[in-house]
Amino acid sequence: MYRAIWLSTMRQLDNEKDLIARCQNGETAFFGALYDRYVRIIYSFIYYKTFQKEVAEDLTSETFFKALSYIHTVDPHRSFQSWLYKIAQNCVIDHFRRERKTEHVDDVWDIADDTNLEIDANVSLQIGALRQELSQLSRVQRDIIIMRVWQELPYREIAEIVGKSEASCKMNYSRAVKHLKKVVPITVGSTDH
Amino acid sequence: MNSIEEILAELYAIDASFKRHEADLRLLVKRLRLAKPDFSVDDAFVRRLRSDILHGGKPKPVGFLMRSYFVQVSKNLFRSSALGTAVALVLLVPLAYAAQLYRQNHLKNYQVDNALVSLGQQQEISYKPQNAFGTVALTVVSTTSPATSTPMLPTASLMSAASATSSATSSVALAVKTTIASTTSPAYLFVGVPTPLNKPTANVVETDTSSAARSELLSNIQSLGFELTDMTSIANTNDSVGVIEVQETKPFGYIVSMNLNKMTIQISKNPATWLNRNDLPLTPDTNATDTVAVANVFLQAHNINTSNYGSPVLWSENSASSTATVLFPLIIDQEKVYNIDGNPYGMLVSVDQKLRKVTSVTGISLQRYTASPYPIETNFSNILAALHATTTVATSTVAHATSTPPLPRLTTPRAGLIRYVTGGQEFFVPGLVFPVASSTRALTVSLLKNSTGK
Repeated sequence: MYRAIWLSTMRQLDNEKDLIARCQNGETAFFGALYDRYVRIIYSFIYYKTFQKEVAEDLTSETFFKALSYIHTVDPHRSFQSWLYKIAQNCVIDHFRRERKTEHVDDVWDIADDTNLEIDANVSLQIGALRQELSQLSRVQRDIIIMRVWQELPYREIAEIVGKSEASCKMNYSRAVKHLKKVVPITVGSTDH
Repeated sequence: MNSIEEILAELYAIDASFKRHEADLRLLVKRLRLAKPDFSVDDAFVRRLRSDILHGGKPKPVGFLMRSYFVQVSKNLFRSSALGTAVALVLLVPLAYAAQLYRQNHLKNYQVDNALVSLGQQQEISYKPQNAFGTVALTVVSTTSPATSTPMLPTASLMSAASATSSATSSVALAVKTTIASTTSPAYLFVGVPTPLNKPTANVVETDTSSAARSELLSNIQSLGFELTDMTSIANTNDSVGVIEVQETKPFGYIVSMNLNKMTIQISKNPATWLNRNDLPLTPDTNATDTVAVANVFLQAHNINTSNYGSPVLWSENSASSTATVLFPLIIDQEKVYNIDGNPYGMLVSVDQKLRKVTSVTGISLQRYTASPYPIETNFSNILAALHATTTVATSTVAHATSTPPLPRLTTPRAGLIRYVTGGQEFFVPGLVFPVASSTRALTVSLLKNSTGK
């Protein structure tokens, strides 16, 4: 019986550099392997910043088309994943700037108080009141929470994505948690399990 | 997902003062984790986007002109005398690599004839009325045992739990005459989540083997971009021909076999044109990611569309011979296709990892199907009862002297199409695949109810 075989992270990273080099050499068929590796995590990141399935699909599509177009600019010594994240981030920002021309809006969290904003119903139910509290954080703090708690990215990657040092990211993370601890109501008598 | 404990430990490492507020922090972290929105990425969107990015409007790295010239030269050299052949071998080896490098470095932006449609680009399904294929009583409950490599034959027909104790026979072309024995002891333990089956009917899919489909398959061979000799066998084909084989004679050429009954194409290396691997400069073994990439490049270069397949996976690897197989799982009408043993069915691409060359491709489909709705069992309890009544799940071969081996545990099933070949005809039947926990085995069961057709 056949089995699917998976590489270790270090081997994947080495192979990734080779894939990028081949794409930069014009062998764009190898981009498929990079796409397969990152499409879902990029989609989820975009979804966490838009909360709409159709918008997330459009922006994911835009992200990867841009990635292929600009792959010749990738620095092979830096993380490809963080480069994709930055493209995705910019696509999200551009999307909201187009949608809300008169407001400084970078993602859905900046308009958490807009009751007319369309978001997927399950998100509304799941996040609930926490949405207001999270929206009070700075974009960097919120992105760190999303990437660390929801997406489990390592600090090394987060630091490259947000453009700060690892130590700074951890500091921002702890400040965000401290702030949330103050403002998020904790139900008296609730227990965790 | 990171556990609450892991997240807390991390926070304490950043700022030890968090420990004084552990209870509040624990609840906060729990709320943050629970607030993570649930969603699922649409597989169809992922596939469609992949196809758009890799195939849509991009120049294809195929150099028709240069390749034609090179093939002509090598054909002439091959047909010369023994001395000429020896000279050709001496010259062709470096020429072959030079040509490959040339294509890679100079022809990657050469645009192929846009009139050529890639094979399998559009999946076409013709829908027929209910029960159009006649009585289809394929209800297979099978498993693979670790000791065998061939799946068990169909053993039973799915019936309602009430009739599970009676003898059941069916005697039509697609069913197997069988008897369901009653049983009082369970054959497995189901520990998964029942699959909701809301619709009373589901499509049985049959590969289109009409004359029109055969003609289309034959005409598509040109789109594969091989330099094939003796195309007269294709020109002279009639409806009675089952298999056609044509070949390339250039170095590292291929044999293309078309099965006009199954409507598939198989590509394999032409051994006569593949030089002894030991005589060639070899690269270190290609890793899994590159192996998949080599497969992708080959398929793209030969205009074989993968948009109706799921993401490719490295399916097997033989380190002794440095060969590996990449599986592109087939998807028909948005349903994943499985073999009778529960493994995904699809296109298999074998790669020589030292030469970084594809040595064979099997299961290339024209993607032409007909579909007809059939009644299916929707009561999950009935399905489980039928599994209990007919399952012969292989247990461990290790002798248990004093204790009864534990029952195999079946986990949440996956819905899809189960591929059956019977009487030379290929069917894809709605079914469920039950993975066996802590193993690579699975049970497959067709959901078809006994039905009478034409």
